[in-house]
Amino acid sequence: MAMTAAHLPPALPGLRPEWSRLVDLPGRGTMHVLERPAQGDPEITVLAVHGNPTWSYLWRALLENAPATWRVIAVDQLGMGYSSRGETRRLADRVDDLGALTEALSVGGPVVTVAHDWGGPVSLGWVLDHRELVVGVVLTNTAVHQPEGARTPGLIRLARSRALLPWVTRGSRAFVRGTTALSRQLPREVIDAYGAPYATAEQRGAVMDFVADIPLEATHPSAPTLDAIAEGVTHFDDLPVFLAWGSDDPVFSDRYLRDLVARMPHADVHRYEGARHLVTEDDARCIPDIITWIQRLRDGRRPVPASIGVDLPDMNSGLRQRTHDTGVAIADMRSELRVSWERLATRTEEIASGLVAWGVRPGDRIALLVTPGPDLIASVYAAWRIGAVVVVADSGLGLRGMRRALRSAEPTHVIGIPAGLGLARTLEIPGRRFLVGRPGAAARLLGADATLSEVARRGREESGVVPTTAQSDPDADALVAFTSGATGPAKGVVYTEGRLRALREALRDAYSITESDALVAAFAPWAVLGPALGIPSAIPDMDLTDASTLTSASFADATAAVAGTLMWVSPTGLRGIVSTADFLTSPQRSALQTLREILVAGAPVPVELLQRMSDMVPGARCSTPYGMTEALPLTETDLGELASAEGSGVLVGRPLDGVSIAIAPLDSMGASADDATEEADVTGEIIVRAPWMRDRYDRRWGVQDRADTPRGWHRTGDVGHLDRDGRLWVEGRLAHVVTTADGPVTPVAVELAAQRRAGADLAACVGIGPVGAQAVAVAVQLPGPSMAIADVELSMRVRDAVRAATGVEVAAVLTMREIPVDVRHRSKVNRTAVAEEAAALLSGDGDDD
Amino acid sequence: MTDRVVVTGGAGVVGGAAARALAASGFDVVSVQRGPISDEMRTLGIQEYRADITGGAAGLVDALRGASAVVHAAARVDIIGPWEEFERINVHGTAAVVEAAQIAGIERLVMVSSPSVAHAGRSLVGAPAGTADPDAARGNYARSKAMAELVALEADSGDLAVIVLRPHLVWGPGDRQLTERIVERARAGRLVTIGSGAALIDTTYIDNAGDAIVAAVRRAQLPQVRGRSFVVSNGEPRTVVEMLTRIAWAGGADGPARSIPFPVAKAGGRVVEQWWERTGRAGEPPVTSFLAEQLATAHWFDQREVRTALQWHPRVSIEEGFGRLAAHLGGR
Repeated sequence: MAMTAAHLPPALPGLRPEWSRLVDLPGRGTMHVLERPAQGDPEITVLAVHGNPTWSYLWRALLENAPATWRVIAVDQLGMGYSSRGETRRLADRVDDLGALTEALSVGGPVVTVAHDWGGPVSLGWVLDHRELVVGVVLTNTAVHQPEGARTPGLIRLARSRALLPWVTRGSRAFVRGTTALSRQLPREVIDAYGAPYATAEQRGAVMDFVADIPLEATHPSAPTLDAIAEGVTHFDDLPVFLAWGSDDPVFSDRYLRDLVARMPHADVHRYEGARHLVTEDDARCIPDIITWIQRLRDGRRPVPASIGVDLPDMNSGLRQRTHDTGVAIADMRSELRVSWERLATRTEEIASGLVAWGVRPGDRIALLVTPGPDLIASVYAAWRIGAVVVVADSGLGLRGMRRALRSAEPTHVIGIPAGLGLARTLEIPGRRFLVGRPGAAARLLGADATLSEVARRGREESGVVPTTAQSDPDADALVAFTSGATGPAKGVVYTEGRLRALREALRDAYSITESDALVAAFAPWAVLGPALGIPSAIPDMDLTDASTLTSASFADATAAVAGTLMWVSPTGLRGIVSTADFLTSPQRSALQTLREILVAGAPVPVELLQRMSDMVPGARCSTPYGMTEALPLTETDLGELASAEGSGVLVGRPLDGVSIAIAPLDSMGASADDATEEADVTGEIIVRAPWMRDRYDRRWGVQDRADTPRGWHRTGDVGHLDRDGRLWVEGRLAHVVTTADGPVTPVAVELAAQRRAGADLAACVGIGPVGAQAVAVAVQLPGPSMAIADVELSMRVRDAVRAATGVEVAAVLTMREIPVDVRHRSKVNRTAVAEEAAALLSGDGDDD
Repeated sequence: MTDRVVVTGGAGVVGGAAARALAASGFDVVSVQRGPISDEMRTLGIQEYRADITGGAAGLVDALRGASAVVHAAARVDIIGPWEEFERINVHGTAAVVEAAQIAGIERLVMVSSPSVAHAGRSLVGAPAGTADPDAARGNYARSKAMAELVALEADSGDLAVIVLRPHLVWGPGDRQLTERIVERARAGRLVTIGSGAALIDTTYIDNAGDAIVAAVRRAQLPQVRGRSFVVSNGEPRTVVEMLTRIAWAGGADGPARSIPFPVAKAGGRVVEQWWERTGRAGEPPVTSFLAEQLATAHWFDQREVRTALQWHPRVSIEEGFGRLAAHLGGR
């Protein structure tokens, strides 16, 4: 092919002309590079390599936003972008080209490489050649190896078919266009910018060569180079690696991420939910996260958290101690099943051995798609017994949320009811599938390797595969649970065995639990904790996926079954009990009187509801903790205190022993400071610390890094303040803070004043307009149209009430027939959705449609 | 000797508010206008100087001599009319005032303008002031004011500091432009909203506009202020329907009786505009497409910059404003 000269790109959005330069590489060609020089000697040099068929334009945001002390170089590989066209380059050539460039530019250490797509192997080849210069590696949706069983990415396969290759890649713009189409939604001018250097067939020659150079077969000339790279990265133990990954990439799917993690288990991972192939375009957090990650190389890595729970008995100790106890451990009121401690301990041991026999190994992740009950409980303790990690995605996430959650957690095995296995099948979970149900044709159809009973039987036959003396590692992962995702995709939260031990002790201390207690678990997640605490538990007859089906009668029967002293329930379940209180028989009513503590957890609880519960069981204390999936419980308050509470927001009480709480003040734009204070009456983001909080987020490095500021603490994303008595008040979500010209406004106090005055059950306070200059709108839930402007009288009343209570000036009052709430708790207001709808109405733009 | 400030257009809403606020702040105020000033203004110690700004700079220099600042509020503010009229009064008139200010050695010129000079169509939600753009401005009034702003800001250099204030929808006792028209229509049962009336709009209580001009006179020479345009409002947006209702109530009448769909109003407005112009009718048509747009889409502005730059904050809240208007008009 004739040589085509390199040249400078035209004016393109986001690209600064002063970055562009041409570098002559004798005997190779001329490379176009973008370079953002450092002020003074570079503290770090970032070397960014694009894939096929993009160009250095991919990294414009990195050049724009990198700290001034960095030197940032983004290359156009030869034959690509605005570099010269010439002879076909194979992978080994490209690695050498990059070496020639860094030599020509006198790149010295320390260097961090950043790469995408087939730029990944090229950059890694360069790293292996320049190991002494490199301090960090960033990879985005790429691959170094074709994982076994993985099909070649569809687009590549299409492009590689002999007949189509020249046409798809060179003859037409299909491949170039196809790549930008692999992003979620790019502005037209950005799509055009990506395609700009590939307008003609000649310009696209290297696009074809690049695709042809992918070694799909072992005999391919580039196969040895790629294999050497794939092997080389397995020795990166002391080299920090960041994998920033688009979760929905049809080319480089999660399989390739799994392969890379297997090669570099120490890598930090952030899987950007919903982002596609061009992850840096699809998720605005990606480039800032990459920059922060590189900064952390200097500021110091996240310190390895101190071991927690080392001195505490393991999670299975409660069960072990009662191996010979014939008393009831679990009373499942739905199946009328009573399981003794002896039976539960034996069954757990059998399943544990059976799982090992089926190939489950310590550290493997097991998704439990089982409704709470004896099978679930035995499976959880069996998994912990053998050092496996329990993944719990509950139906409260909704089906879509469950799928996303499971895909992101990547379980290796599944134990599930038929619907659960069906889900596992569509998600292509790679390992074993165990059915909670009967063997037979249906089981085989679901792809089950065995039923749970068969697992237990095999465990009985092969008992002894799990040494009785096996000790669980307090630092090893034990549980992945999911946030409700009310404000975005659900995030996986990882607990270690030691942190779960600390959680168990925190509950024991906070609620003075002794051996003589018994638990009524109407809040599904807690049903599992009874055996760890060494106390019997009863599961009421109800649809556990819909807490509102709980009735006072089923609650009373469950309490009677174990002479319950503690009850854990969600606000929705509590509502079910209270609304059916009149149907209780008098024996049922008296059975309730063994209760001494009623704990309502999951979402804020109206005082009136607690009061009615308290009226049913006058001897019991009604309390409600504050916490979240990442850390629970943190504070506690009871009915007596709540009834007399007057203040801004919702009172959640004093920190429990062992919990620290501080406030990171808000600035005028509604952002919370890095540092926090314990001063009273300062409103800001609530940050917390407790031994039993989560260890980390699962494969969300960026989220993790922000949530961990200051180090060792957890940023909750809630806003609130401490009062003079050290009590915490919650004022809403950080993401929902309204930023007016007079300063930030937190929503909860405004909502409480508005709904009280309007006689509504629910209200939503939202900001309209640009951040920092927003107007406040309040929607109250009242019968009528889905959303409308409140009449002037109501508007004035609500405005006056809000002003009197909070000093906040409301611009507009709206009525909504139904304010949207979250799926899991049906009580957390989706203010983001309300804000969007309100903004549209109040703009008047809808009127001309 | 007290500081002397000359106000053009003192007989108008904003000019009058500026003259009164300046006098109340201790300035020596001269009102340049075609007719005699009101007795009320006279009792406040405001002096009268009869002149027409369309008569050229020469006729104004004498009035300006000895003053340190000029507030230029004289303008034709109708929503309809022949372009030549707007050009003569708003563009050439401003040029004459600027020229006279230069000749007379004035230090500070505060020009009163309108947010419409920088914004065309579509909704404005917490919008910045923006730069005046005659090509994009909608209607003769906005276009002529945009040109006038450019003429005035062009003169900001050296000894003469120029600043532009754009008060948005000024209302209150004594305002005949907006307030009394709403009240009149409401009393006649002819007050309507266009569309749902849900669009948020920013308005300015009349006394606050006067105060902002006093602040501008005081601070016009500061480097962070001179040569700039600021939108001024109460910073308390309300829905159109609530504004109309509250003003009607203050006038002792009921709120809007019904609503006209926006597309109908807009199309109807266009027909009315053409018919009005063709038939050469005087006064103001019931609705124009520009007005339909103003009353149906959000128009409110980011007030942070102006408050910081002028060290000014609205003294009369919108609620208090309604109270004062009701006291003035005898409504609720």
